[in-house]
Amino acid sequence: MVDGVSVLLIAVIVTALAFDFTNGFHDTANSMATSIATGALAPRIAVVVAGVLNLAGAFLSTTVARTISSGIVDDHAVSLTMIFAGLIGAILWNMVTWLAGLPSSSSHALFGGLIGAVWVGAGGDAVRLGQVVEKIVIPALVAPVLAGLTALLATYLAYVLTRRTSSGPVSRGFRIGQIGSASLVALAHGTNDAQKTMGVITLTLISAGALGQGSGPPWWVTLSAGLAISLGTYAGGWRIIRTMGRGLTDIEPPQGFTAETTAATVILVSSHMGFPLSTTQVCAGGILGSGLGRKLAQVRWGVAGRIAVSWILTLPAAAAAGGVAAWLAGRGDIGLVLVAAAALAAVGGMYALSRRRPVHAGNVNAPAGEEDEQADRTAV
Amino acid sequence: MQIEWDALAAVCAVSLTVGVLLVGVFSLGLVALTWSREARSAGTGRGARTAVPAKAAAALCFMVCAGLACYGIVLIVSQSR
Repeated sequence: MVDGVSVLLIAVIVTALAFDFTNGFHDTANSMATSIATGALAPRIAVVVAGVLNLAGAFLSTTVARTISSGIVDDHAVSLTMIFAGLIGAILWNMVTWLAGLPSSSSHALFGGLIGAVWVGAGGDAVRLGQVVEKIVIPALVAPVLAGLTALLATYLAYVLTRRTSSGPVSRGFRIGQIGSASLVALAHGTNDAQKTMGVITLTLISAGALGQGSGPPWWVTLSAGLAISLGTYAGGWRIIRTMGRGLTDIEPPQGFTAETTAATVILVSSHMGFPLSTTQVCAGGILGSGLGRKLAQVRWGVAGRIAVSWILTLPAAAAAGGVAAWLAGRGDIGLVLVAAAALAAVGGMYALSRRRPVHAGNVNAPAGEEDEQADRTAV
Repeated sequence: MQIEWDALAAVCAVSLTVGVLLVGVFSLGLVALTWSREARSAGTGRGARTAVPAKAAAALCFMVCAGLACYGIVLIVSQSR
Protein backbone atom coordinates (compact mmCIF):
# COMPACT_ATOMS: atom_id res chain seq x y z
CA MET A 1 0.00 0.00 0.00
CA VAL A 2 2.75 2.41 0.99
CA ASP A 3 4.65 1.41 -2.09
CA GLY A 4 1.59 2.01 -4.27
CA VAL A 5 1.15 5.51 -2.92
CA SER A 6 4.78 6.47 -3.35
CA VAL A 7 4.89 5.17 -6.93
CA LEU A 8 1.80 7.27 -7.66
CA LEU A 9 3.42 10.23 -5.91
CA ILE A 10 6.51 9.93 -8.09
CA ALA A 11 4.31 9.55 -11.17
CA VAL A 12 2.47 12.77 -10.29
CA ILE A 13 5.72 14.69 -9.74
CA VAL A 14 7.24 13.46 -13.00
CA THR A 15 4.03 14.28 -14.87
CA ALA A 16 3.89 17.73 -13.28
CA LEU A 17 7.45 18.42 -14.44
CA ALA A 18 6.60 17.13 -17.91
CA PHE A 19 3.62 19.48 -18.02
CA ASP A 20 5.92 22.29 -16.88
CA PHE A 21 8.22 21.49 -19.81
CA THR A 22 5.34 21.64 -22.32
CA ASN A 23 4.21 24.87 -20.67
CA GLY A 24 7.70 26.25 -21.34
CA PHE A 25 7.91 25.53 -25.05
CA HIS A 26 4.27 26.42 -25.54
CA ASP A 27 4.86 29.91 -24.21
CA THR A 28 8.26 30.83 -25.65
CA ALA A 29 6.33 32.50 -28.44
CA ASN A 30 4.66 34.90 -26.01
CA SER A 31 7.87 36.68 -25.19
CA MET A 32 10.00 35.95 -28.22
CA ALA A 33 7.89 35.45 -31.37
CA THR A 34 7.79 39.14 -32.30
CA SER A 35 11.42 39.69 -31.28
CA ILE A 36 12.45 36.91 -33.64
CA ALA A 37 10.15 38.18 -36.41
CA THR A 38 11.54 41.73 -36.33
CA GLY A 39 15.13 40.53 -36.06
CA ALA A 40 15.58 42.15 -32.63
CA LEU A 41 17.07 38.85 -31.48
CA ALA A 42 18.42 35.92 -33.46
CA PRO A 43 16.21 32.83 -32.90
CA ARG A 44 18.83 30.86 -30.94
CA ILE A 45 19.71 33.85 -28.75
CA ALA A 46 16.05 34.64 -28.14
CA VAL A 47 15.31 31.21 -26.66
CA VAL A 48 18.43 31.37 -24.47
CA VAL A 49 17.35 34.78 -23.13
CA ALA A 50 13.79 33.57 -22.54
CA GLY A 51 14.99 30.36 -20.86
CA VAL A 52 17.40 32.16 -18.51
CA LEU A 53 14.77 34.76 -17.57
CA ASN A 54 12.22 32.00 -16.96
CA LEU A 55 14.64 30.34 -14.55
CA ALA A 56 15.35 33.65 -12.84
CA GLY A 57 11.62 34.32 -12.63
CA ALA A 58 11.02 30.94 -11.01
CA PHE A 59 13.41 31.86 -8.18
CA LEU A 60 12.24 35.45 -7.82
CA SER A 61 9.23 34.60 -5.77
CA THR A 62 9.08 31.66 -3.42
CA THR A 63 5.46 31.69 -2.32
CA VAL A 64 3.46 29.21 -4.31
CA ALA A 65 -0.24 29.02 -4.98
CA ARG A 66 -2.11 27.73 -1.94
CA THR A 67 -4.67 25.87 -4.02
CA ILE A 68 -4.12 23.58 -6.97
CA SER A 69 -6.94 25.01 -9.02
CA SER A 70 -7.54 28.51 -7.57
CA GLY A 71 -10.96 27.32 -6.41
CA ILE A 72 -12.21 26.05 -9.77
CA VAL A 73 -12.66 22.59 -8.28
CA ASP A 74 -13.21 21.56 -4.67
CA ASP A 75 -9.62 20.93 -3.60
CA HIS A 76 -10.71 18.55 -0.81
CA ALA A 77 -12.19 16.21 -3.41
CA VAL A 78 -8.97 16.06 -5.43
CA SER A 79 -6.97 12.82 -5.12
CA LEU A 80 -3.46 12.05 -6.38
CA THR A 81 -4.93 9.99 -9.20
CA MET A 82 -7.07 12.95 -10.32
CA ILE A 83 -4.08 15.31 -10.32
CA PHE A 84 -2.16 12.75 -12.37
CA ALA A 85 -5.04 12.37 -14.84
CA GLY A 86 -5.58 16.12 -15.07
CA LEU A 87 -1.91 16.70 -15.83
CA ILE A 88 -2.00 13.99 -18.52
CA GLY A 89 -5.01 15.70 -20.13
CA ALA A 90 -3.24 19.07 -20.06
CA ILE A 91 -0.02 17.64 -21.56
CA LEU A 92 -1.92 15.92 -24.37
CA TRP A 93 -3.82 19.09 -25.33
CA ASN A 94 -0.61 21.13 -25.16
CA MET A 95 1.02 18.67 -27.55
CA VAL A 96 -1.92 18.73 -29.98
CA THR A 97 -1.99 22.53 -30.12
CA TRP A 98 1.81 22.69 -30.41
CA LEU A 99 1.68 20.28 -33.35
CA ALA A 100 -0.90 22.55 -35.00
CA GLY A 101 1.20 25.60 -34.11
CA LEU A 102 -1.59 27.15 -32.09
CA PRO A 103 -0.86 29.33 -29.04
CA SER A 104 -3.39 28.07 -26.51
CA SER A 105 -3.19 28.83 -22.81
CA SER A 106 -1.30 26.22 -20.77
CA SER A 107 -3.07 27.30 -17.60
CA HIS A 108 -6.45 26.71 -19.22
CA ALA A 109 -5.27 23.28 -20.33
CA LEU A 110 -4.26 22.49 -16.75
CA PHE A 111 -7.57 23.75 -15.37
CA GLY A 112 -9.45 21.82 -18.05
CA GLY A 113 -7.58 18.60 -17.29
CA LEU A 114 -8.28 18.95 -13.57
CA ILE A 115 -11.95 19.77 -14.16
CA GLY A 116 -12.40 16.65 -16.30
CA ALA A 117 -10.51 14.42 -13.87
CA VAL A 118 -12.39 15.72 -10.83
CA TRP A 119 -15.74 15.53 -12.61
CA VAL A 120 -15.17 11.86 -13.40
CA GLY A 121 -13.47 11.02 -10.11
CA ALA A 122 -15.55 12.94 -7.60
CA GLY A 123 -18.71 13.94 -9.48
CA GLY A 124 -19.90 17.16 -11.09
CA ASP A 125 -20.64 18.74 -7.70
CA ALA A 126 -16.93 19.09 -7.00
CA VAL A 127 -16.57 21.40 -10.03
CA ARG A 128 -17.54 25.00 -9.36
CA LEU A 129 -18.97 26.22 -12.62
CA GLY A 130 -19.44 29.76 -11.34
CA GLN A 131 -15.72 29.95 -10.66
CA VAL A 132 -15.01 28.59 -14.13
CA VAL A 133 -16.98 31.46 -15.68
CA GLU A 134 -15.42 34.04 -13.37
CA LYS A 135 -11.80 32.88 -13.56
CA ILE A 136 -11.59 31.49 -17.09
CA VAL A 137 -14.40 32.50 -19.43
CA ILE A 138 -14.62 36.23 -18.62
CA PRO A 139 -10.83 36.79 -18.55
CA ALA A 140 -10.54 34.85 -21.82
CA LEU A 141 -12.95 37.28 -23.45
CA VAL A 142 -11.31 40.35 -21.91
CA ALA A 143 -7.63 39.49 -22.50
CA PRO A 144 -7.41 39.57 -26.32
CA VAL A 145 -9.81 42.50 -26.66
CA LEU A 146 -8.03 44.64 -24.07
CA ALA A 147 -4.52 43.81 -25.32
CA GLY A 148 -5.64 44.18 -28.92
CA LEU A 149 -7.24 47.58 -28.39
CA THR A 150 -4.25 48.87 -26.41
CA ALA A 151 -1.81 47.64 -29.04
CA LEU A 152 -3.94 49.08 -31.84
CA LEU A 153 -3.97 52.57 -30.34
CA ALA A 154 -0.31 52.39 -29.31
CA THR A 155 0.81 51.18 -32.74
CA TYR A 156 -1.12 53.95 -34.46
CA LEU A 157 0.47 56.47 -32.09
CA ALA A 158 3.98 55.07 -32.62
CA TYR A 159 3.66 55.34 -36.41
CA VAL A 160 2.19 58.85 -36.27
CA LEU A 161 4.92 60.12 -33.92
CA THR A 162 7.82 58.65 -35.88
CA ARG A 163 6.35 59.45 -39.32
CA ARG A 164 8.76 62.29 -40.15
CA THR A 165 11.86 60.66 -38.71
CA SER A 166 14.25 58.56 -40.77
CA SER A 167 13.21 54.96 -40.35
CA GLY A 168 16.65 53.33 -39.95
CA PRO A 169 17.61 54.64 -36.50
CA VAL A 170 13.99 54.52 -35.31
CA SER A 171 13.65 50.86 -36.26
CA ARG A 172 16.89 50.08 -34.46
CA GLY A 173 15.59 51.86 -31.37
CA PHE A 174 12.32 49.97 -31.42
CA ARG A 175 14.18 46.68 -31.72
CA ILE A 176 16.30 47.50 -28.69
CA GLY A 177 13.25 48.57 -26.71
CA GLN A 178 11.48 45.40 -27.71
CA ILE A 179 14.23 43.26 -26.16
CA GLY A 180 13.49 45.01 -22.87
CA SER A 181 9.73 44.48 -22.92
CA ALA A 182 10.07 40.88 -24.19
CA SER A 183 12.41 40.18 -21.30
CA LEU A 184 9.82 41.49 -18.85
CA VAL A 185 7.22 39.14 -20.34
CA ALA A 186 9.62 36.19 -20.03
CA LEU A 187 10.43 37.06 -16.42
CA ALA A 188 6.77 37.41 -15.45
CA HIS A 189 6.05 34.12 -17.19
CA GLY A 190 8.74 32.28 -15.22
CA THR A 191 7.34 33.63 -11.97
CA ASN A 192 3.71 32.82 -12.73
CA ASP A 193 3.85 29.52 -14.52
CA ALA A 194 6.74 27.82 -12.73
CA GLN A 195 4.91 28.65 -9.49
CA LYS A 196 1.88 26.75 -10.68
CA THR A 197 3.89 23.55 -11.07
CA MET A 198 5.62 24.15 -7.75
CA GLY A 199 2.19 24.55 -6.18
CA VAL A 200 0.90 21.31 -7.68
CA ILE A 201 3.96 19.34 -6.53
CA THR A 202 4.01 20.92 -3.07
CA LEU A 203 0.30 20.28 -2.47
CA THR A 204 0.77 16.72 -3.72
CA LEU A 205 3.58 16.18 -1.23
CA ILE A 206 1.44 17.66 1.55
CA SER A 207 -1.57 15.49 0.75
CA ALA A 208 0.68 12.41 0.68
CA GLY A 209 2.01 13.31 4.11
CA ALA A 210 5.58 13.87 2.92
CA LEU A 211 5.40 17.56 3.93
CA GLY A 212 3.69 19.28 6.84
CA GLN A 213 0.49 21.28 6.33
CA GLY A 214 1.10 24.75 4.96
CA SER A 215 4.80 24.24 4.24
CA GLY A 216 6.51 25.91 1.31
CA PRO A 217 8.16 24.05 -1.55
CA PRO A 218 11.42 22.22 -0.75
CA TRP A 219 14.43 23.56 -2.65
CA TRP A 220 14.47 20.65 -5.09
CA VAL A 221 10.89 21.42 -6.11
CA THR A 222 11.74 25.05 -6.87
CA LEU A 223 14.86 24.03 -8.74
CA SER A 224 13.30 21.23 -10.79
CA ALA A 225 10.18 23.23 -11.68
CA GLY A 226 12.31 26.23 -12.70
CA LEU A 227 14.64 24.00 -14.74
CA ALA A 228 11.75 22.16 -16.43
CA ILE A 229 10.03 25.33 -17.60
CA SER A 230 13.22 27.05 -18.71
CA LEU A 231 14.45 23.97 -20.59
CA GLY A 232 11.05 23.82 -22.26
CA THR A 233 11.34 27.49 -23.16
CA TYR A 234 14.83 26.91 -24.54
CA ALA A 235 13.52 24.00 -26.65
CA GLY A 236 11.64 26.67 -28.49
CA GLY A 237 8.20 25.60 -29.58
CA TRP A 238 9.12 26.91 -33.04
CA ARG A 239 5.79 25.98 -34.58
CA ILE A 240 3.93 28.36 -32.28
CA ILE A 241 6.61 31.03 -32.64
CA ARG A 242 6.10 30.94 -36.39
CA THR A 243 2.32 31.34 -36.06
CA MET A 244 2.65 34.25 -33.64
CA GLY A 245 5.57 35.97 -35.37
CA ARG A 246 4.71 35.34 -39.02
CA GLY A 247 1.23 33.91 -39.24
CA LEU A 248 -1.04 36.52 -37.68
CA THR A 249 0.39 39.58 -39.39
CA ASP A 250 3.64 40.94 -40.83
CA ILE A 251 5.45 42.58 -37.94
CA GLU A 252 7.66 45.65 -38.38
CA PRO A 253 9.89 46.85 -35.52
CA PRO A 254 7.44 49.49 -34.19
CA GLN A 255 4.70 46.88 -34.11
CA GLY A 256 6.91 44.31 -32.40
CA PHE A 257 7.84 46.84 -29.74
CA THR A 258 4.22 47.87 -29.26
CA ALA A 259 2.85 44.32 -29.13
CA GLU A 260 5.39 43.22 -26.54
CA THR A 261 5.19 46.40 -24.48
CA THR A 262 1.40 46.38 -24.29
CA ALA A 263 1.53 42.66 -23.45
CA ALA A 264 3.95 43.29 -20.58
CA THR A 265 1.80 46.19 -19.37
CA VAL A 266 -1.50 44.30 -19.50
CA ILE A 267 -0.03 41.18 -17.83
CA LEU A 268 1.56 43.10 -14.97
CA VAL A 269 -1.35 45.49 -14.43
CA SER A 270 -3.95 42.72 -14.47
CA SER A 271 -2.11 40.37 -12.13
CA HIS A 272 -1.23 43.23 -9.79
CA MET A 273 -4.83 44.45 -9.64
CA GLY A 274 -6.20 41.00 -8.88
CA PHE A 275 -7.70 40.13 -12.25
CA PRO A 276 -5.05 37.88 -13.80
CA LEU A 277 -5.29 37.37 -17.56
CA SER A 278 -3.77 34.57 -19.63
CA THR A 279 -0.32 35.56 -20.91
CA THR A 280 -0.89 33.69 -24.15
CA GLN A 281 -4.18 35.40 -24.90
CA VAL A 282 -2.80 38.82 -24.01
CA CYS A 283 0.21 38.35 -26.30
CA ALA A 284 -1.85 37.06 -29.23
CA GLY A 285 -4.27 39.97 -28.80
CA GLY A 286 -1.36 42.40 -28.70
CA ILE A 287 0.10 41.07 -31.94
CA LEU A 288 -3.31 41.23 -33.64
CA GLY A 289 -3.82 44.79 -32.42
CA SER A 290 -0.39 45.85 -33.67
CA GLY A 291 -1.38 44.48 -37.07
CA LEU A 292 -4.62 46.46 -37.07
CA GLY A 293 -2.86 49.64 -35.92
CA ARG A 294 -0.56 49.93 -38.93
CA LYS A 295 -2.01 51.12 -42.19
CA LEU A 296 -1.89 48.54 -44.95
CA ALA A 297 -0.75 45.80 -42.60
CA GLN A 298 -2.40 42.53 -43.47
CA VAL A 299 -4.10 40.67 -40.64
CA ARG A 300 -4.74 37.03 -41.50
CA TRP A 301 -8.13 36.50 -39.97
CA GLY A 302 -8.08 32.81 -40.91
CA VAL A 303 -5.12 32.28 -38.57
CA ALA A 304 -6.75 34.43 -35.88
CA GLY A 305 -9.93 32.39 -36.23
CA ARG A 306 -8.07 29.10 -35.85
CA ILE A 307 -6.38 30.44 -32.71
CA ALA A 308 -9.77 31.53 -31.32
CA VAL A 309 -11.23 28.07 -31.98
CA SER A 310 -8.29 26.47 -30.16
CA TRP A 311 -8.99 28.73 -27.16
CA ILE A 312 -12.64 27.71 -27.08
CA LEU A 313 -11.69 24.03 -27.38
CA THR A 314 -8.88 24.11 -24.79
CA LEU A 315 -11.01 23.70 -21.68
CA PRO A 316 -13.43 21.02 -22.95
CA ALA A 317 -10.76 19.09 -24.85
CA ALA A 318 -8.32 18.98 -21.92
CA ALA A 319 -11.27 18.13 -19.66
CA ALA A 320 -12.28 15.23 -21.90
CA ALA A 321 -8.73 13.89 -21.98
CA GLY A 322 -8.39 14.37 -18.21
CA GLY A 323 -11.74 12.68 -17.64
CA VAL A 324 -10.89 9.62 -19.70
CA ALA A 325 -7.50 9.41 -18.00
CA ALA A 326 -9.15 9.70 -14.56
CA TRP A 327 -11.67 6.99 -15.39
CA LEU A 328 -8.96 4.61 -16.58
CA ALA A 329 -6.51 5.48 -13.80
CA GLY A 330 -9.28 4.94 -11.26
CA ARG A 331 -9.50 1.25 -12.27
CA GLY A 332 -6.39 0.45 -10.23
CA ASP A 333 -2.68 0.06 -10.85
CA ILE A 334 -3.10 -1.46 -14.29
CA GLY A 335 -5.27 1.46 -15.36
CA LEU A 336 -2.64 3.86 -14.10
CA VAL A 337 0.08 2.11 -16.09
CA LEU A 338 -2.19 2.06 -19.14
CA VAL A 339 -2.78 5.82 -18.89
CA ALA A 340 0.95 6.51 -18.58
CA ALA A 341 1.75 4.20 -21.50
CA ALA A 342 -0.99 5.67 -23.71
CA ALA A 343 0.15 9.21 -22.91
CA LEU A 344 3.76 8.37 -23.70
CA ALA A 345 2.72 6.75 -26.96
CA ALA A 346 0.57 9.75 -27.94
CA VAL A 347 3.31 12.26 -27.13
CA GLY A 348 5.86 10.17 -29.02
CA GLY A 349 3.50 9.86 -31.98
CA MET A 350 2.88 13.61 -32.11
CA TYR A 351 6.61 14.28 -31.91
CA ALA A 352 7.16 11.86 -34.79
CA LEU A 353 4.43 13.64 -36.79
CA SER A 354 6.13 16.98 -36.14
CA ARG A 355 9.35 15.65 -37.70
CA ARG A 356 7.64 15.25 -41.04
CA ARG A 357 7.44 19.00 -41.44
CA PRO A 358 9.81 20.33 -38.83
CA VAL A 359 9.95 23.98 -37.81
CA HIS A 360 13.20 25.03 -36.17
CA ALA A 361 15.46 28.01 -35.56
CA GLY A 362 16.58 27.90 -39.19
CA ASN A 363 13.18 28.21 -40.87
CA VAL A 364 11.06 29.85 -38.16
CA ASN A 365 11.01 33.17 -40.01
CA ALA A 366 9.85 31.67 -43.28
CA PRO A 367 6.30 32.73 -44.09
CA ALA A 368 3.73 30.35 -42.69
CA GLY A 369 1.10 28.95 -45.01
CA GLU A 370 0.78 27.20 -48.31
CA GLU A 371 3.84 28.69 -49.96
CA ASP A 372 6.16 27.00 -47.52
CA GLU A 373 4.35 23.71 -47.89
CA GLN A 374 5.30 23.88 -51.54
CA ALA A 375 8.80 24.97 -50.67
CA ASP A 376 9.10 22.01 -48.33
CA ARG A 377 8.01 19.64 -51.07
CA THR A 378 10.55 20.95 -53.53
CA ALA A 379 13.26 20.90 -50.86
CA VAL A 380 12.62 17.23 -50.14
CA MET B 1 -20.61 33.68 -9.09
CA GLN B 2 -19.68 37.28 -8.81
CA ILE B 3 -17.74 39.08 -11.46
CA GLU B 4 -15.70 41.97 -10.16
CA TRP B 5 -16.69 44.53 -12.75
CA ASP B 6 -14.89 47.29 -10.85
CA ALA B 7 -11.59 45.41 -10.93
CA LEU B 8 -12.16 44.60 -14.57
CA ALA B 9 -12.87 48.20 -15.52
CA ALA B 10 -9.87 49.42 -13.52
CA VAL B 11 -7.58 46.88 -15.21
CA CYS B 12 -8.79 47.98 -18.63
CA ALA B 13 -8.43 51.69 -17.91
CA VAL B 14 -4.95 51.42 -16.37
CA SER B 15 -3.66 49.00 -19.03
CA LEU B 16 -4.88 51.19 -21.87
CA THR B 17 -3.47 54.38 -20.38
CA VAL B 18 -0.09 53.00 -19.33
CA GLY B 19 0.37 50.94 -22.50
CA VAL B 20 -0.39 53.76 -24.92
CA LEU B 21 1.55 56.38 -22.92
CA LEU B 22 4.59 54.11 -22.57
CA VAL B 23 4.76 53.46 -26.30
CA GLY B 24 4.15 57.16 -27.00
CA VAL B 25 6.94 58.30 -24.68
CA PHE B 26 9.37 55.75 -26.14
CA SER B 27 8.50 56.85 -29.68
CA LEU B 28 9.04 60.50 -28.74
CA GLY B 29 12.38 59.53 -27.23
CA LEU B 30 13.43 57.89 -30.50
CA VAL B 31 12.30 60.95 -32.48
CA ALA B 32 14.27 63.28 -30.20
CA LEU B 33 17.35 61.06 -30.29
CA THR B 34 17.34 60.84 -34.07
CA TRP B 35 16.77 64.61 -34.27
CA SER B 36 19.77 65.33 -32.04
CA ARG B 37 22.03 63.04 -34.05
CA GLU B 38 20.98 64.55 -37.34
CA ALA B 39 21.33 68.09 -35.97
CA ARG B 40 24.84 67.35 -34.75
CA SER B 41 25.98 65.76 -37.99
CA ALA B 42 24.55 68.77 -39.87
CA GLY B 43 27.32 70.81 -38.23
CA THR B 44 26.98 74.48 -37.32
CA GLY B 45 23.91 76.63 -37.74
CA ARG B 46 20.43 76.87 -36.37
CA GLY B 47 19.84 73.12 -36.30
CA ALA B 48 22.98 72.32 -34.35
CA ARG B 49 21.83 74.36 -31.38
CA THR B 50 18.82 72.05 -30.90
CA ALA B 51 21.06 68.98 -30.62
CA VAL B 52 21.67 69.24 -26.88
CA PRO B 53 18.08 69.93 -25.76
CA ALA B 54 16.84 67.20 -28.07
CA LYS B 55 19.30 64.78 -26.53
CA ALA B 56 18.15 65.77 -23.05
CA ALA B 57 14.51 65.23 -24.04
CA ALA B 58 15.39 61.80 -25.42
CA ALA B 59 17.20 60.90 -22.19
CA LEU B 60 14.17 61.99 -20.18
CA CYS B 61 11.82 59.87 -22.28
CA PHE B 62 13.99 56.78 -22.00
CA MET B 63 14.37 57.31 -18.27
CA VAL B 64 10.59 57.33 -17.88
CA CYS B 65 10.38 54.05 -19.82
CA ALA B 66 13.23 52.49 -17.84
CA GLY B 67 11.57 53.58 -14.62
CA LEU B 68 8.31 51.92 -15.62
CA ALA B 69 10.21 48.75 -16.57
CA CYS B 70 11.89 48.72 -13.15
CA TYR B 71 8.50 49.17 -11.52
CA GLY B 72 7.36 46.18 -13.58
CA ILE B 73 10.18 44.08 -12.09
CA VAL B 74 9.18 45.26 -8.61
CA LEU B 75 5.62 44.10 -9.35
CA ILE B 76 6.86 40.69 -10.51
CA VAL B 77 8.94 40.20 -7.37
CA SER B 78 6.25 41.50 -5.02
CA GLN B 79 3.67 39.10 -6.42
CA SER B 80 4.96 36.61 -3.87
CA ARG B 81 3.50 38.70 -1.04
